[in-house]
Amino acid sequence: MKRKYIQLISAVLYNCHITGFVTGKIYKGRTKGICVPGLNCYSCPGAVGACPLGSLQNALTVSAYRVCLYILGTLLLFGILFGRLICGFLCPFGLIQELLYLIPLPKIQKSKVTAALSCLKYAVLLFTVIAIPLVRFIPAFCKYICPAGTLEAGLPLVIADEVLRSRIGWLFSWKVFVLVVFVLISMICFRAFCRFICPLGALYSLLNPVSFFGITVDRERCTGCNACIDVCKMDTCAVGDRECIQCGECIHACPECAIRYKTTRGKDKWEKEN
Amino acid sequence: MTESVRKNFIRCIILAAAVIMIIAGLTGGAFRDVFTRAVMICMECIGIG
Repeated sequence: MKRKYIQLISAVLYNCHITGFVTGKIYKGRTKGICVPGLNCYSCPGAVGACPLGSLQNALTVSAYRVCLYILGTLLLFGILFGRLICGFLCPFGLIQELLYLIPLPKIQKSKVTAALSCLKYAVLLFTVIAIPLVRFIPAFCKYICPAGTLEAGLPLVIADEVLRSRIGWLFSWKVFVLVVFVLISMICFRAFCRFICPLGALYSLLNPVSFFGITVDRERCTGCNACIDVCKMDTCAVGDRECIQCGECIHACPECAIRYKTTRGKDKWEKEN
Repeated sequence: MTESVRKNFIRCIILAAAVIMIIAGLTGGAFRDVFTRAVMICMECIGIG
């Protein structure tokens, strides 16, 4: 199945409370206690699950360490099972950025500058998701940065709810500005938010090289031609490294057919041939 | 210890840690707390509060 369909299906599944978009009321069912793997604001009128980053920050602001255990355990579980496969297949905001990148405009190619910028997301994770919520009791990432929250929750709720509309101020203007900046950058730079800012991607990236599922390379077949790295639009240095979102574009680019998903039948084929 | 054995060992340790953390959190009522927070509009998330 094509990756775009999986991304679309996951986005719909995360936000299948469709009536919420009309009424401006968020979902209040039991599934709201379960964190979804991708970045999806739980205040989105359609959301049927909790955002792991929002939940983690709120738990840290009130020092609810058992809640932190539950959320960190969930993130570890997602990360060790799938790594950044989640970014490539199960993140609605990643899909939105990829669709924006389809707009025919001059594109910024990956370079040493973008590779250096990709380290920024670890600082965002450390300061806005962990340190500031712990020290200043503010969910800083959600409050000042998260463009997914503005797009999926802020705008729909403000449009649908007159009371909320009457309360908007400088913070809302700032968040809309951040969203507009990321929308514009995403048109010319592939998944800019994921590569440079996303703390969820930063967390999963740490587990990406050891995750159970994902992409792997047959070292005996690999000739080191780097066709995989050349075709990749992320800041990868090797297939399956921290920046790899396991999208699988390199599988088709490899002239030696040395790249495959760990769970496909390719392994059997290799074993028979060798 | 080969590379793949070492990786599998790390995977299993992390997987076990994740499961233990989830269980520890759930027994402490974490599900209810996450649920309680998630069913309210997050004013910070939407840029109001």
